[in-house]
Amino acid sequence: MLLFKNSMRQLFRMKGRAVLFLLLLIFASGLCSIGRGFLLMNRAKMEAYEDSFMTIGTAEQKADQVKERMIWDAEDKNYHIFNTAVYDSYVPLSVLDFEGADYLAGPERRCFYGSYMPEYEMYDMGMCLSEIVEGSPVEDAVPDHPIAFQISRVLGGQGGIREGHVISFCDHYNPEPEKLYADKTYVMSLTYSPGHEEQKEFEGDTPSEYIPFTVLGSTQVDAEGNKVPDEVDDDHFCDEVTEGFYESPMGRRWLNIVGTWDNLRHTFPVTGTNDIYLMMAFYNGNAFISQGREFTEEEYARGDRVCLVSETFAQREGLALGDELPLALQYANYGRTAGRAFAVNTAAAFTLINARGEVYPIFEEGDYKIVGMYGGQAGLRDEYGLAYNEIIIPSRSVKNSDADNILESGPMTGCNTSFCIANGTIDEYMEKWSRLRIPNVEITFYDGGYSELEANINNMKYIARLLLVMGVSMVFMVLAYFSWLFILKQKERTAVERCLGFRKMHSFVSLFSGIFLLILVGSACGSLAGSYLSGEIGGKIGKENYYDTTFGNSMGTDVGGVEETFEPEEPLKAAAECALAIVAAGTVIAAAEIYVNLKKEPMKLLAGRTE
Amino acid sequence: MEILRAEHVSYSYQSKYQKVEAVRDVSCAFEKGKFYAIVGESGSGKSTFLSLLAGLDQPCGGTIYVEGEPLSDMDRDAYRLNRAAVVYQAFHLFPLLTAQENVMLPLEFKKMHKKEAVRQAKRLLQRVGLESRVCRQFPKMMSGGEQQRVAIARAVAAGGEIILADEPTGNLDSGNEENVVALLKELAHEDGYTVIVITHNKRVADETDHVFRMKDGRMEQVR
Repeated sequence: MLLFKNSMRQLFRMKGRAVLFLLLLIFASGLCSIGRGFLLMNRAKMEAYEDSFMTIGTAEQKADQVKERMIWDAEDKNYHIFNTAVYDSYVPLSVLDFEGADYLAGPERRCFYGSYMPEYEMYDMGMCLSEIVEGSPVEDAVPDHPIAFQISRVLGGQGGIREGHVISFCDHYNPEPEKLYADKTYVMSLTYSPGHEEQKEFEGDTPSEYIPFTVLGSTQVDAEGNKVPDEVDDDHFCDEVTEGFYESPMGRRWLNIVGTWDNLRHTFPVTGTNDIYLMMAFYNGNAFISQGREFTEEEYARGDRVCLVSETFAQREGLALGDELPLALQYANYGRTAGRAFAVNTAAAFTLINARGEVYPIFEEGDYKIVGMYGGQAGLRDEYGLAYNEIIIPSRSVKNSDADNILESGPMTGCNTSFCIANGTIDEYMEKWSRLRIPNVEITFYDGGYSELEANINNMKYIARLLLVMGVSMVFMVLAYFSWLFILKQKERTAVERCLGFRKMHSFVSLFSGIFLLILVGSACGSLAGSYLSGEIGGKIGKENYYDTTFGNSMGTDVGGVEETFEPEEPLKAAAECALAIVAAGTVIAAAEIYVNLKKEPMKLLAGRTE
Repeated sequence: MEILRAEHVSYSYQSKYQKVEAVRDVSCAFEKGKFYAIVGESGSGKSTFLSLLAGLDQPCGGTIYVEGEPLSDMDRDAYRLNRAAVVYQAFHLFPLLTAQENVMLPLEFKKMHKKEAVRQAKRLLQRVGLESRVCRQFPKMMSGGEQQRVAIARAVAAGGEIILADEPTGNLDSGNEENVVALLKELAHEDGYTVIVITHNKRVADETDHVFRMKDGRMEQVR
């Protein structure tokens, strides 16, 4: 106690220096504490945001060339030029599996399957079917303009044409249509189209015509995307119906088509994925889980037979969570997403028969348990969106090969090929990707504003680091300078004490206790003030921050924004940690300098050894 | 009565360039109540020998006895606290303590009650001829002579029997020099202290009872 009192007495007789030391240490500790507080706060923010954000990338193959296609227009009596993207070959998904690509999910190339479920009704199908009808022209005519065509029988289709109707028919896009005879019956696949200007004279302001819609030639492709040869031309849309025609191969093909049209009303689009948030509709919040849950990692990995259905579909069909859907996958479509194929007012642009003219056989069937339902928009003309009644399943749950059931193929596009990487690693990924030099695949990233947020937080972190470095440097400078002043410059005092019989420990305590008390008080006051200040400022910044994710991912039903949800650090605890670190540093510096003092021989110091 | 004795004491140390033999085979004895001077040129080993007598260094060879007991066997910190005190040419008072507090420090360190320490310090300061007004002064407010007196008072307060003084008058004018020498002489002859001073000053040496001369680390008794 005597040593402590003596130490304090001597220290406070250097009042000015002691007070200056205390003030500087409070200021430096405050800076340290604020810097540390900000750094931790921003780190905590980033960690909190990590769960709210997800970075996905999409891959899109660019066309190798664009070809001009001349298409005849019967109304203009002229060719129109259309540009068509041409792909020499489709780049495989494996191109995305390169060294250093650290995926959290994917990459995956999604297709959609058609699942035939006769006991369920495909309401709001969206997609338009062609009308398959039998009929004859009212008089012999070449349909290079709208001709009157008498319908004698409706085999299948949308239901827009009835038996006995006389429609306007025009082989609109054929520059050299064949002549049709009034005494013959034809079976045709037709679709509705706005009529020619010249028809207005007879039909009023909204004339209509029916034009050929080719569905007979199969669109089937093999696993490599090559078209499976079919003896029926792609643009075949009409046959003459003669006695026994429907027993012929071509006739049976017509009937098969009619059958698939009927089946389509019970065929549901099913999409397999490895993470529902790789699908843009879920990623951007247009679709969200409204009941039940998402798939678990284990379900994805094992390929469990679980599914997500739209809540509207479930309501209509009286389905509940836990119910099972008997999926029977009939075909796979790699050419377009279900959202595109089943969009409102979109004609079915693929045939549902294979190159042999037969209905695709079911290649995978099983009961899928409904674990969740989703809400949101569907059926828009958006290839990134979901189709009406789309069913989502884990990709791995489809065990059998779909190689013989592919009705369309296409390149990787932003809406069917995606992957997930860690937030904030876009640049790193792109650097590695660019080394591969694959010019015809374009990668696009979506991070829901994470990069911007990260940049802002990194700026804050930079300021925090700057404050911390300034604080730590100042603490060390203050400690070093005043330790030099209070300790190293007091060598003589130590020597005299030693000469008076003080042991080394006594001399240590005599010098250390005073400065230790100042360090303790200074660091505690500064740290506490800094800690409260950083909490206050952080709180204000937090209240002002509301990160808009309207065009990003919201990862749930809370569409529109992510609020700060991190827990701020306990100010007292934060201050204690900071002060403790400064006290430890001060103790080490002081102890080292006292050790230097004690190493000096007292007589050498006090008398000077001139020998 | 013999209080301190050195027998064949030697001490060497390694300087930057060579080994220096500062003290060579020194043997001498010091009696209680006597005033001694050790004279010699700079670098002759006087201060080194004094630090050996104070127990601040250990001899490389030979033995120093304190009342027959080898100093090397004793607790040398306790020896300095209770029996031997050192006075320096540059006074070396604690600059942030008053004269009284300087003298009180060793007393309080010896666990003397504060009131008693105050009383004792005042008595000692009076004993070395300082007026009571000096008690509350800090060293920088005092003259060199006054500072040296405080240093002697602190040495007396600290040590019990032996005062080792290294050029105690080196920084003093002749008036103060005489006073300090007279004080040390009084402490030896009247209070029974063994006072050993190192000095270049012949006048100081002349006031002592015995004189030793050191040259090249060796010692001889002159008187």
